[in-house]
Amino acid sequence: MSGEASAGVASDAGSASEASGDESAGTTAGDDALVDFHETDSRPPTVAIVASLAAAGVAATAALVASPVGGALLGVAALGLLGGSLRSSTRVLGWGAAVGVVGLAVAGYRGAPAEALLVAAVGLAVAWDVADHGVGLGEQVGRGARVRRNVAVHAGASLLVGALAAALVYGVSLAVGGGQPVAALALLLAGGIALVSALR
Amino acid sequence: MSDSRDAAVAAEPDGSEGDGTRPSGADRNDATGSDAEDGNATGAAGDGERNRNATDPAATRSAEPSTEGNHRREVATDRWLGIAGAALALVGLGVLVRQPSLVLAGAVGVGYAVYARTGEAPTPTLAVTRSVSDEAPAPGDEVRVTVRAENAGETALPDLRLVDGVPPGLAVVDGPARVATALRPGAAVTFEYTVRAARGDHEWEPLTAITRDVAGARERTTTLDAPTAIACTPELAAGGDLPLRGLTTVHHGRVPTDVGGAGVEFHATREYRRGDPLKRIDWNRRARTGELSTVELREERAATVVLLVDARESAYVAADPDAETAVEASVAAAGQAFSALLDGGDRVGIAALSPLDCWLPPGSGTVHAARGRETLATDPALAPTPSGERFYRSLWLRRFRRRLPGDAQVLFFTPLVDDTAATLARRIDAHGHLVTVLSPDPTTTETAGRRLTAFERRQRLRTLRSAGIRALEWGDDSFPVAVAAATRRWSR
Amino acid sequence: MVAVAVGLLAALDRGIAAAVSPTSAVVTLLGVLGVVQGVRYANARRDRRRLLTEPGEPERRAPAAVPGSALDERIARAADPAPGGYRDRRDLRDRAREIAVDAVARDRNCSREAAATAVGDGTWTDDPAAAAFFGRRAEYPLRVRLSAGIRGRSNYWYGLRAAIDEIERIEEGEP
Repeated sequence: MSGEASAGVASDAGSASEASGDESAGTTAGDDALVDFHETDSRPPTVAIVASLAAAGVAATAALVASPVGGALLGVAALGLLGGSLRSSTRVLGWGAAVGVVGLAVAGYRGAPAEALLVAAVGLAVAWDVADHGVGLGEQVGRGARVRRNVAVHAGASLLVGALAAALVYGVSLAVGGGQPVAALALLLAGGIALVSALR
Repeated sequence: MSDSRDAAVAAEPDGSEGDGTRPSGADRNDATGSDAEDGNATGAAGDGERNRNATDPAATRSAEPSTEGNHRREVATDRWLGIAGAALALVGLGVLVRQPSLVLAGAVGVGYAVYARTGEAPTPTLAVTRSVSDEAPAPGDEVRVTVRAENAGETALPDLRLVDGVPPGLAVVDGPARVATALRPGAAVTFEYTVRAARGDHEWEPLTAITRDVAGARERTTTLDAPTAIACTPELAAGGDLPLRGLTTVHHGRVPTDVGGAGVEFHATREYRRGDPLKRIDWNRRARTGELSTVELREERAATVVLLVDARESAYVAADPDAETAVEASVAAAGQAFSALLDGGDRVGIAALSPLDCWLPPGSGTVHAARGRETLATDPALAPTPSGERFYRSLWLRRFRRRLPGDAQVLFFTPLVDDTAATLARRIDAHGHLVTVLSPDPTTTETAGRRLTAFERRQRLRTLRSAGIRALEWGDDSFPVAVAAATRRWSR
Repeated sequence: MVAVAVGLLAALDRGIAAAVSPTSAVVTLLGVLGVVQGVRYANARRDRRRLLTEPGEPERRAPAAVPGSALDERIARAADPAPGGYRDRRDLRDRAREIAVDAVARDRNCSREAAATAVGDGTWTDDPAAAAFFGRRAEYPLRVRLSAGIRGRSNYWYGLRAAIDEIERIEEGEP
């Protein structure tokens, strides 16, 4: 019924579906209470974003202590994780985590102590895990729903696994002692390559 | 059914479904019936026993069926894809540059890779209860829905997401109908949301439960039945303001007769007899002479009218995806016409142009009024969303003509968005029934296609009119206003 | 597996490590291999397909169709400048022609045949694009062809829009 204005929209919009999208949005906003349907907010829940940022902050701080460049890269990773969360993009999250791994590599290359590097690694893993979990939750449940317990359990489990793994490898490295048998490491690595290739 | 059997196997691999305690399909159906009355329903996947014991059979607000979860699929989310590669790269780099701390950091990555591979998405064994605050609300009422899910199984659910199956004809106005949580065995989660009631019988669809393992590497989707329904039956509007007399007097029906009796036009007066209605006593004469006498009015023969509502899938259209469909507009208008015609003494029936059968034979009286109201509100053929069945035009027409009384006239409510409706109107007219097309206008003019559709509809109206079929349309203005305008036009 | 086991043993016992002691070159080679393979495997993530359950929007009332939306999709297909879609174009043109003929017949108070002739030879309208849309001989005006070329649209799209605009003008002109 609203002739000219709407016709103008149609002439500009590239396709018909675009035009219909514009129109329905406008009408919904301008209409009365009868169309107040609930729109699902599919952004990740805030609690997941906050937890992810906290973990990423810990990781960046730990790396910064050891190596400024590595710490900076982990800071970039934290920003990437935040951006991925805000845009609900797991792809961006993946790239953020990749930058973080590069940050770990740089920090390690610069001779970061094992303790700091382990904390940074666990922090990065938890940060990415919680952020990615949050995006999935956002898509399936949305921001408006109650999710706190779910996120807490997930983040807690992730942290626990990381802490256990770090404690284990740190313990082994202490047991082995200072002199690193390169041969042993190399053999482990060869086995690891074979294992990962087989498991993939 | 085979699906739910699969689910039972998945839920409890020891095959306990053979012990006879599991509810059969028949139980479930019975329960559905009682749920509709109680407004409370329970469904469980897997363990029905616990749920049954927990339910007091004497309590009328609880139903005791338990239904199997319907296992759909388990998929790998591939969330952790690449973690092993990243770990390997770190270890390799550590070896390459002889930095043991990098090897350790990489080893932590290996830990996560193992973590991601260990879990399996659990099959939820949930006892689901859904209750509604009002199972027979008026249109526009807000109905509070409470869903409770208890982990009745033995395994913990570290990551459980529930999405309720809100009926497609209802809109949630407060809170998403979802929750995400983690449940230990025996723990329960409750969530609430509010829907706005709209005309029709609304049955809840199964609840969707998505479970993941703790690492989130695998995901399983299960649907859980917890039958719940609300029936929203609008009051029939008082029909006095609808000037339908013009619609029904022209050809046959309501023919003035020379028989005195009930009617509107003065015929004669006679002596008062016991039982004559008070309003027909000639009070003027009583005041003048003190005699009691009764006014005889000219009796009119009642018309037989069938309200035909177009509820084919193509009629579920609206100017805006979130607006009321043309079917809603037609049903609301048919409701007004129904009570107006009944008040006027006509015999009124209801039929739907729909793949599903709907036929209320013409009748009158208060019982008939109640049945008409019920039909318009909750008949599946006039449901608020299309049924998805196929519509066979000639089959429908044959059945409709067989049922239609010979002297009946038809008020045909249709948005006229396709040729079929116009063709049917002409076919019914050709069989000697007076057809009046009453068309809610769902067309808009934003895009080329919509404008073309609007032109075509307008042309259909013109063609109908030129074929001698009365047709009126209403859009922004209300149905009574359109009828008033049209009857003025027609009576000229 | 064996390598992992031996590696573990070697890490714990110097003797074994000494026994299998690889040269520095071999270690470096292994390290490079690890990095390369690791990056390759991590790279697999890039073509990951997410297969998550999408619960949709049960909160929303089932959206109603808007009359003409399906037609809009057909128009979009037909108006695509890429070749093909001939049948869609012809069908749409026929539908629009019906409406135009009806409108002209009503407007000029003439027979449908006369109206069809007017629509066919383009004399039903002053708009050259609308005339060209139904016309057998008429050419689209240069202006339309230029802007169609620049905006990457087909002449058909402009012709259809012009024709619908023209039909609307005729319809509006009536009481």
